[in-house]
Amino acid sequence: MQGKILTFYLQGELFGIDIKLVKEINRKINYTRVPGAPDFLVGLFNMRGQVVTVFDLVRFIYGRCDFIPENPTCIILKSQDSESEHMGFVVDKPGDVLDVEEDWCEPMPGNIQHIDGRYIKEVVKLEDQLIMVIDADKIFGEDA
Amino acid sequence: MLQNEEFIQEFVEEARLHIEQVESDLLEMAGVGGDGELINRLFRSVHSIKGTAGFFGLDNIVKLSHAMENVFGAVRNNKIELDDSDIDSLLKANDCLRDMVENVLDSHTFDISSYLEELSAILEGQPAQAGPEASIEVRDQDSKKLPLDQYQQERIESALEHGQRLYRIKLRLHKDLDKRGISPIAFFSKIQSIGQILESHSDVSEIRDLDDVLKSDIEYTFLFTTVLEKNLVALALEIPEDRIQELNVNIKPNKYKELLLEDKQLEKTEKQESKPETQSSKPQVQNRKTSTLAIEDSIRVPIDLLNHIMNLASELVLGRNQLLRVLEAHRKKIEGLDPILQNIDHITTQLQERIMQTRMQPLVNVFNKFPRMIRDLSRQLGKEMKLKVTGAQVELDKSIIEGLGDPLTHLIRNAADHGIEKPEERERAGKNREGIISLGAYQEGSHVSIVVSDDGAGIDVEALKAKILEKELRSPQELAVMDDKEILEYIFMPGFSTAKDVTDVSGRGVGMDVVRTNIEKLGGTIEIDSQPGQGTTFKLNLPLTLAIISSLIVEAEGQKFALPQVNLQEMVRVKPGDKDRRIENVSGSLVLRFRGNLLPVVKLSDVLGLSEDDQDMDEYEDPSKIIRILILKEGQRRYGLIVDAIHDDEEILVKPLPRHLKDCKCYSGVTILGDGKIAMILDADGIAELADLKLADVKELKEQDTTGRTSSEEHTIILFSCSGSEVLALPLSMVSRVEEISLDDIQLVGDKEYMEFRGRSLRLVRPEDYLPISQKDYKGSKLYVIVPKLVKQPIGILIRKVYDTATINIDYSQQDIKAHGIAGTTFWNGKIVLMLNLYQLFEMAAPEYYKTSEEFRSEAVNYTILLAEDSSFFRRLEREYLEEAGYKVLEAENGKQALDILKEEKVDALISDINMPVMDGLELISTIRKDESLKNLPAIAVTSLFNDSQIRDGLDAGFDYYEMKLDKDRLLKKLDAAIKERMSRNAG
Repeated sequence: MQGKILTFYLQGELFGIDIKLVKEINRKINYTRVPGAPDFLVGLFNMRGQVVTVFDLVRFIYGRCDFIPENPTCIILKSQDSESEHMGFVVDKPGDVLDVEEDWCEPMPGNIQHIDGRYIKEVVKLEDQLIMVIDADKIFGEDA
Repeated sequence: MLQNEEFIQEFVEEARLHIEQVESDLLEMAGVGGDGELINRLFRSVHSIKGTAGFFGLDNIVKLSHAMENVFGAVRNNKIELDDSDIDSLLKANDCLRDMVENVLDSHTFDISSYLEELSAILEGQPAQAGPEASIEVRDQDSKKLPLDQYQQERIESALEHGQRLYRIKLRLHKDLDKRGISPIAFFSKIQSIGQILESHSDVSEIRDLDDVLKSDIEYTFLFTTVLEKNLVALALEIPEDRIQELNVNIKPNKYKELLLEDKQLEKTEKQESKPETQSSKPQVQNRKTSTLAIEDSIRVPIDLLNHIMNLASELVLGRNQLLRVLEAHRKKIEGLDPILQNIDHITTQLQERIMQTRMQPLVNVFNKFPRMIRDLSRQLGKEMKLKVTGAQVELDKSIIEGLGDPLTHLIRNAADHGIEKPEERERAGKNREGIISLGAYQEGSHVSIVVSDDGAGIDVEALKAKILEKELRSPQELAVMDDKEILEYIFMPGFSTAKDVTDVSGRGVGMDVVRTNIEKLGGTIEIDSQPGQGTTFKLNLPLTLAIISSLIVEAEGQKFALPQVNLQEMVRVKPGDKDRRIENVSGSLVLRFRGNLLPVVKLSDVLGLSEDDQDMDEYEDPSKIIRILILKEGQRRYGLIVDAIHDDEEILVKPLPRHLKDCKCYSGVTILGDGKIAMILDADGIAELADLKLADVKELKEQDTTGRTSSEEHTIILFSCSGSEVLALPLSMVSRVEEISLDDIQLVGDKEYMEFRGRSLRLVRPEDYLPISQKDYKGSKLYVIVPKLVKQPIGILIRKVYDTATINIDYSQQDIKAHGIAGTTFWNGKIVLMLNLYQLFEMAAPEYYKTSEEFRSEAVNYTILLAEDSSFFRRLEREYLEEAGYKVLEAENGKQALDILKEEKVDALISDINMPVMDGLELISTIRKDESLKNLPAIAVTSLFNDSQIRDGLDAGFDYYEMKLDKDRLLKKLDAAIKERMSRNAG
């Protein structure tokens, strides 16, 4: 892709998401667990009167449940329109906003075993590290 | 072009309303006959449709509405009278009109010729053509249009006679209206506000469909009479003067129709000079008057916008709640903050209420279609039926109104099809041939009740029983002990249609279960009652609005949940060792033994999977543990839900469940609590399902052993609220007066409030200053004071609002909300009601009068008092103040029990009620006085009502004193005196 990505850390590894999809970063959110909810769902939290459904990306990408701290940091996605619901996901910590050029990107290499490639759109190669850009549609989309 | 489409949309909405009006007016006319006002309204309605449709060149709609207008015009002029079949024709024409309006883009494709023929037949069949108006000489040229012409000429003549002028106005929709931002609807109503349209015509010869109309900017011509002069007409209508031509008043009436179409001829006949100007002296006044007439008092707002505004207002409420919470501690510290907060609080509440109001719609919107339905069904089924509608003006939230259409249609069809019998059958049963179906609505607190009832044959309970057996839902033995009401409930089960023959109208085995599901989706409940031979009644209870509900906040494993009050029947506290209510294990499931019934019970934290390990019965036998159970009702199921803690009740805003939680059956929505945290709203039905409660099986098993007595009793109470939202109550027997006062009546002396009452100064207390209930600023100047009776030192209770009085079963042993000053809780209209403990309140408010004197305390030690009192409420109050004074108290519910206790226990004094079951107080005391070992027992009779002869009877029977139950201080003094007297007598 061409443009800006917001990077964040999960399980110590660097991920990215197209910044155009991101509404804001909330730190120390006070969320409510929902007993009986699917296991990828961390809970719900109140963002200025809007109910935000909070996801555990680790569950998707690593296929296991993460320990979610009491007041995690959460990246909130822009919602499609005023009617649709708000969604977000927990990160270990947010990173920077980077400009990415088209020719830095590659498809997800097949040899990375511990990560579920279905949810990674592409990999951005920087000089010293790789950024796995998540496929938000596959995780948060209507048919996901 | 876009605006044109908006105009068309506006026309459609407007026309719909008119069509509805026409239908209900026609039905009314069919029922009771038409009066002048009714026929005028009919005429105006179709006239408006015709007029506006003309702007858009909707030729078919114009033609049909025109034909209807002619009929109404003839009726109005007493030329014809309508019989039933005429009204049917008109109804059919109106239906066609509706179809065309609903499919306005294709309206030109409708075939309306048959309707037009029927309508003109109505007119032609009348002798009215030889009307008395000899002055009108037209009739011969076009015989088919004759009645129309004749009628309209009459109007012209009469208009001219009244000094009105005749104008012809030609407009182009786009050029003259659209460009100036005038909507055709508004324009049309403006015209009607200053005069009358006689005839209109659009040149639609070039036009194929609506797109053409929008593109081609057709010319619209109409004839119009008014008293206004030409320049004023132009001003009033905001159109250029050159569009208006005043027509020669001397024009031959039979030619006006052509004039409308033929321009050149009109030009010639245009009058060159107007008549002497009678209005010219005050043209400006006239002008102003017409413009005020044109102002509309309502505007159209898209629902989307309204919903958005409502969401914002809801968020404002949440923001306000959070603000108040955070700043609560600083209220006093920051100068001026308090009034600001109160103001914001007040305005936000108001704003929210008003916005909720915008969504309220009258039930007439759904009720409207039923008279017609019944009329049609009568024909179809060969029955004679009438629908009686009441309460159509009652308002409900739009979303509820919309959801009511189908269930009500179903209920009414059922009533017509299965309920009402054929006329002959009715006659045989000694009833009126005509069956009555009534549809009524009324508001009751925060609920609206809708009742659908018929006076038909009633539901055949035996047939239902047969069906239940056939489906093997119950055994014959079980059926034998079920009452009719329980059996009737089965009508709501899937596949229960008892109609013997399935008809088109209703009954294909689907139905009542869907009706109930739909009503419950709206947050409502449905009840059924049926008497053989007398009819069937369905009662629907619905919340006023969906968006905000009152709910109880409960806790499980440290997490808060909201439980809608509508499901909550009562709260029960199970204390270990309580014989009347305990939790037992019946074949693996928990049940609550409660008031002689067994109720299935589940634990919220178990259902939600919150508890770590499997709990066993031990937990419920742990003597240190009190178990809180909410009794929930959903449909016909009733079950208990165990929670860890019960918090306040809160008005919550329901937000929809996020998409990913749709599968979680135990929640119905999400809300944000006052502390800003999100809480899940529990779904009583889903929880039962999730817990797999076999409720039908365990459903309130009748317990053989009926020793468990209920501790509840009926009281007539007065319900009121203080500044907060809590509903408080007092037994009416403790209230002397309720006075309405204004804020100015309250005088401040020191930090205490007083008012003048019957020439004395009455101390006032505000319960919220002493009780754990919410406290808000009093707005508005009206207040009420409850003056209690049977107290030593009167103190008025200052309250904001009196709701009602009600006779309610109160269970005083429920102590879930227990605080000093509160005697117990009950339910009223789905809300929790707190019963005040007047004495504790007064003790806190005025300890100088009400604190138990120390003198009794020291002496009272070691004395045991037997309290014989059948009302547990009074027993509790009396017990509390006796114990507070230092006495030990034994309780008896009647004289018999009291005697038994006296035989076994050492008792130092008796306090007894007079009126008690089994053995009353008089019998008790005479028995005591006859008994050698008891005859010197100090005894006081207490009652809440007495007169002199009663006192005499009591004292004659052997009581030492006769006192009022509720005068605590006096009672304690007398008790002390009685004990001392008897002791000195014994000693002497």
